[in-house]
Amino acid sequence: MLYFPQLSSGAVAQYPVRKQSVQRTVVNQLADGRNVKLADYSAAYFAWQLQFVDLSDSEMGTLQQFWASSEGQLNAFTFLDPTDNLFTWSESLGQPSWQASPLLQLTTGIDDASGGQRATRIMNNSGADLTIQQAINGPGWFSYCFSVYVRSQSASTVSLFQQSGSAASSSVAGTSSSWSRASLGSRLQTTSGSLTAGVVIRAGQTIDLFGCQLEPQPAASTYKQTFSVGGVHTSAHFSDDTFEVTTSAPNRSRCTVGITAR
Amino acid sequence: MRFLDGTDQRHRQYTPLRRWTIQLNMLDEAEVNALEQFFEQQQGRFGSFSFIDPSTQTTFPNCSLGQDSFQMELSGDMRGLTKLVIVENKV
Repeated sequence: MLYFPQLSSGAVAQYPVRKQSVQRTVVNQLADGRNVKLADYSAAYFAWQLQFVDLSDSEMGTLQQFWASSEGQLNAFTFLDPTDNLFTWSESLGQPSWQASPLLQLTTGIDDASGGQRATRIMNNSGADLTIQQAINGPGWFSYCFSVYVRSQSASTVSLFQQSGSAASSSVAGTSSSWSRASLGSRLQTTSGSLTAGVVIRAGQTIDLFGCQLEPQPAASTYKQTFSVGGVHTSAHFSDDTFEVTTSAPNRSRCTVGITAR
Repeated sequence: MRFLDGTDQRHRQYTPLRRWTIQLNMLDEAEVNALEQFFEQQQGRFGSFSFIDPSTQTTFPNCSLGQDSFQMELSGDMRGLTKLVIVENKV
């Protein structure tokens, strides 16, 4: 499987990033001015234009090698959208994309950190630590940051973790009765093609979670809500058969790549 | 309708329908993402929603996006930009 590479900084892209989301609607305009519309969801696609400047020779070599492996537009690869949250259903922890122990009690509609009521209260009344987690089809060896807003009735701690194959990392963050954002950035030593991130709910603990976010970069950015579509695109292609590089000095190269995904 | 003598007669075929072009600059990532999510929920031009005209505060109950393509650019923190076209539908 091919994965669009990260730069040495752990980021997938540099500013500016251009993204396009395209839908197709068939519109039949009637004589009286009204419209009859048909949504053609299967024609929807995403497109990105990524501009890279001041790349080192190593970074440019990696990009060129990846482009050669993809053979231009021919072969599909996995692209992690740098502008999006890699999780699906970031605020609906009861959705099937989330794996939660059946012993955890989830209550939705809790006051959240953004002034709405989209947080989830999780109670662990069992005698063992339990987890709620989501797995993505992204390379385990990439740099990721998992972040989530947490709150508890009294001062406590919460443990975040990332796991891929036999490699794992975790961190403990303090919680209080006010919302705070806990994050875990790590890069695991693994060759696994998937990554799982989640929260450990300790025995007897009750905690509120909101805004779970996983990003392909070392640190957390602004929270982005997702629904059924997240930022993992497993069937992306280059949009061009040409890869043009401009090198102005050693370790100073630039290029622009176009990527599309359905 | 134009007559042989050169005069013409006109009548209103439709009630005038409004169209708004909204240019949005200096957005943060969450704002851009929220607009993109809205675009996808609407499935481009397919869906309909109510829209409050920002200049008159009048609510138009049946509007749609006027575009099947949502384009955005992030050029830095708090430097997202995009454009939305909203059209009023004939009921």
